[in-house]
Amino acid sequence: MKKSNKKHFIRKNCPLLLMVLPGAAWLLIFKYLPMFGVVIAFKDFRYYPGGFISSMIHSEWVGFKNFEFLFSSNDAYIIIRNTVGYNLVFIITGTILSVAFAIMLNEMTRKKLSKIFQTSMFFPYFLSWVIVSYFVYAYLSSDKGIINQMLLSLGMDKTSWYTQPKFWPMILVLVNNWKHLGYSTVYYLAAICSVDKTYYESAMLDGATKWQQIKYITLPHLKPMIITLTILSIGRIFSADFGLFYNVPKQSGPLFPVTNVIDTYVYRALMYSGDIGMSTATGLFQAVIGFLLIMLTNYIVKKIDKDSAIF
Amino acid sequence: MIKKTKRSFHSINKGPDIIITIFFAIFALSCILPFLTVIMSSLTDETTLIKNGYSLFPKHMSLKAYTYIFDQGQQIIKSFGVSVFITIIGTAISVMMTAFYAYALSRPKFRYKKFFNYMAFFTMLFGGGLVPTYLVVTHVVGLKDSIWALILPMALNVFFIIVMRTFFKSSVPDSIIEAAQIDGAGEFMTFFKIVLPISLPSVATISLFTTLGYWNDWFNALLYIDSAHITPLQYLLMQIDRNMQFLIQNASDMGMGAGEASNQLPAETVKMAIVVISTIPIACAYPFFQKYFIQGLTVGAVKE
Amino acid sequence: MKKSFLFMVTVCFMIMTLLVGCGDKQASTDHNTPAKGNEDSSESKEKPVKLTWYTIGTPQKDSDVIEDELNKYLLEKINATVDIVMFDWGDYNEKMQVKIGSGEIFDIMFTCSWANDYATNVAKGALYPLNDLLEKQGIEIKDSLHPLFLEGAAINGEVYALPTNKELGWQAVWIINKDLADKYNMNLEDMTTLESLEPYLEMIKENEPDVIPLTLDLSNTPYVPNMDTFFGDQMPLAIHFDAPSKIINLFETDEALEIFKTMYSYYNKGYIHPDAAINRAGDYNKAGNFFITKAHYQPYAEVLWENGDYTNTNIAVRPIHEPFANNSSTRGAMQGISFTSKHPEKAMEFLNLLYTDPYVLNLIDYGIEGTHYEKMNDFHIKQLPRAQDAYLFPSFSIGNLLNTYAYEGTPEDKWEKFEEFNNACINAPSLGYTPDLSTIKSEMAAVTNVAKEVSSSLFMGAVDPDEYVPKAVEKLKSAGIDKVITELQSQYDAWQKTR
Repeated sequence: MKKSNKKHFIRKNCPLLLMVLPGAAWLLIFKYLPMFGVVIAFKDFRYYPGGFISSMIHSEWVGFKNFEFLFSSNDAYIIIRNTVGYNLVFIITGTILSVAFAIMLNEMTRKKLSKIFQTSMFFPYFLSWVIVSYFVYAYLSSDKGIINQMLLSLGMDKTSWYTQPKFWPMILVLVNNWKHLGYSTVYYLAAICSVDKTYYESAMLDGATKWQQIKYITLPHLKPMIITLTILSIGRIFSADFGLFYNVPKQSGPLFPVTNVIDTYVYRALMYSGDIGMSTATGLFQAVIGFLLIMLTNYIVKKIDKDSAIF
Repeated sequence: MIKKTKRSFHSINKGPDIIITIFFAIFALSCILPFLTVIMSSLTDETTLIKNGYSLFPKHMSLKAYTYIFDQGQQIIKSFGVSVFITIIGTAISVMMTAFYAYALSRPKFRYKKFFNYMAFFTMLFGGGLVPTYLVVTHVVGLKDSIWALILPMALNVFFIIVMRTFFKSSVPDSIIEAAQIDGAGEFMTFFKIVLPISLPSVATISLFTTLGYWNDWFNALLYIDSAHITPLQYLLMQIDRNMQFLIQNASDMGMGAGEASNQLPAETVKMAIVVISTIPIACAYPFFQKYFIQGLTVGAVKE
Repeated sequence: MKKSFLFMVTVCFMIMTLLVGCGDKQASTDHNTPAKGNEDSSESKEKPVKLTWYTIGTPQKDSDVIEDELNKYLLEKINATVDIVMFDWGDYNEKMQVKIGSGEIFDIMFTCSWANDYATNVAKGALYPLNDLLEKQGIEIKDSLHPLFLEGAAINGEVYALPTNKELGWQAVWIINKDLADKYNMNLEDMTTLESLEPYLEMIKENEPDVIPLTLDLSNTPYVPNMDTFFGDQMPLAIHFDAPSKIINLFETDEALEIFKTMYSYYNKGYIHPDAAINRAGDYNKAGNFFITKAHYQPYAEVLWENGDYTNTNIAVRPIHEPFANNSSTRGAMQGISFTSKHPEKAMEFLNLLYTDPYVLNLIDYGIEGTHYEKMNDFHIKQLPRAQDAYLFPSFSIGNLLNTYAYEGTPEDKWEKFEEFNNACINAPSLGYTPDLSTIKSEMAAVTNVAKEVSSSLFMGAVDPDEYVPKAVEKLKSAGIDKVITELQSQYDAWQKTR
């Protein structure tokens, strides 16, 4: 590289490097330093004098043994199917609903009301899953549940909701969307806000209908955000929201076929032993699959539309 | 600089408008009702609550849960202070770091873009696990039982970096940045004078989410905090939840111990009161950030 | 790209090793810092030792006050001070996992069969072996404990933690709502087995529509007669008292089937809450909306219950079976010494005081006299309001209950009754047998999940056992319970030979 070029290069990149510096330092310390710990996924971790590092070094190698419990049981298929299945449905319904909500909230003529609605939609997000589970129970309990009372008053039979697996995929999808929509809508509301107003003005002048404006201006502008969020959530497709699947169905045994996911399975499996090796192995497995899936999705997106990919 | 646009050229037909309004009214109600029930439960007399369960219109009201919490005194006030402190300081640090990082990644000419992009992205999925992270935070950074242990370990969220980068890329046209830099503006200047103002809605979004993240965090407190005077509000609440879960799971193996443990649990109404106290302040934060979701912020407006 | 990552990780690892090394040193020097004062008690010139003690329970406001008071006494007595750190019930497992896992230096920890699991800690080497220390610093502990406690605590002959001297065995009892029983003139003597309750439950069901006749729930399942469920109530592994050499699958026994059938008929007759399998019965009991429920007993537990979980009713208690001691009862609450402790001898001296020195024990259990409680006589105390607000300690978790005070209203022969109770305990066949699960980790993971899936609805009678038990057994088998039983059996045989 020539000297003048180099100078130019430094002047160009230096400020940007400075900007990245705090974040990069943070990542190194808080994320990369602890990563040596993944080694224990391949070890039979025991305690030895001299602290964690020494324990880690002295513990025996066991290869992939810590991973076996995830695949060896008959439930392996069910928990993986449930985890991936629910996450896919959550991604699809969540995205469609939050984009639709954002557009509708934005189009409402009564802006004050729109703001009140947005704020109210946020409340479920603040309630912990444990508390949400109380309310779901208030609806679904066998004796005093609101829905069963309604069924009775309509002259129909009561249903024992917590023992009927067939209802639960629906219930879980509903509850999850109810809790998270307020949050995820905000991404798109903000994205809509940054659409240049002049586009709509000229569209109006050309006589475009509302629907055409949404289709040709709003949605294309939301596309990068939709793609980014989707790719990122695909990376977590092997990790389930523990609170949702553990607390909301109240750990009802008969529902396990449709509510047991990787995270609840591992939690129950390690409840007594708390084996660090096995929990680290689970985390590593989820990360590797997530990583591969993100790379794959990104690759596909890149093929179709180069600008939308996140790498 | 920011100019509200007239409603006229952006309104929809009356029919759909009413339908949408009614739909959202119902949905918003379904979101707010459980919370109202929580408020009413916290105002219910304890025995009434046990006998009749939650209700929007309890038979016997009582302020006992709140008087109990405030008689208990210091703890809830201290925790409130801790929560406010970590939320404000944490959000400030975090949004700053996130925005810088995201901006650098959004610049096409940044030579190490790819490296830092991967560097961040990789950590979104891979982690070292609980114990190694604990070890680094307590021994290497030295944050054991310190209020900074509630701030620094979550000072950066790679998810938000990527989202913010997308915002920057899609809402700030390269041409403007280039034009500014040809005029002699440096990267910092461009960032503060052009990119941030245009991206105000996105910065507000990320700030809001970071605020919520800090306010709702309890896991760092569980890991790193041993002293009561630096426990955040949310952790107080989670402790009650977790204690109950623990008791349900282990009651049969605990024998008589279960009784002694449940004696240490606060009443259900107190729990509901803590939910109320910990939610109301943060719920007020939303309208604050909402102010910045203003449509009509045009690129032209910024340039003027 | 890949290479640079690898490089980065390696560098981090090296920095890490250096830093953590330093960190450890720092922590250990920290440990030797003397507590202030006490220069003149010159019987030893050594600096006082500071012990760190992690134990279970909701942290209390007045802990520091009690700690100061205690340390004044301990400095005199054993030239040590202790830092009591309490972690809340639901946090204890995670807290201890990171503390032990990161090799933190501390001295004493609570460990037991249901939190910070004792057997796992021993298997992983987290606990300091105590046999030698018991002979030297803790000889009085051995004298004060019922011998079966240490037998249950020993793993391969070595004791790794000291059980609290309390009720030794399990005895399930029916807790009966006495107000209702009196109202309908019931004969309590007849209430023994689950089946024997039927006529009374029926009577209540007919006459008291608001009352749930039998409030059992997922964490309070009916007792299966003659079974030593040595893995805790949540796992279907058992040993029959009359065939003590064999480990069996609980779900394959006739005894369990009988219980399931009875519960199924009770469920259909509406004696049980329809959501019993997912619900907690505690609220109904507390509100007095119950007729019969079940609990584990200790002598005069009813006094504690009436003041605690059953405040709204008078209760009577009827035993379901003779008390028996197995590992989960003898290991119900223990204090052990960490393998990282720099002062195991001092820690043992302190533990010794918990068993032998009533002043120390009562101070930790009840707080300071005059502030947290008032003494009524040598045995009875009265709790002062301040205790409810600022200092409640789970007394079952430490020391020797027989040395503690009791609240007013407790019969004076309480501790004699405890000794009687403990002497009456039968040894369960499995007492002292600690399985090594390292070769069957995957199967245990799967079996635990299946057990969670099938047991609550069977035990609560929500499903027809004739149809569902074979299915449950089938599921357990495909999860590998046979392999688990075979492995446990061979270890059990080997263990029996050593006795």
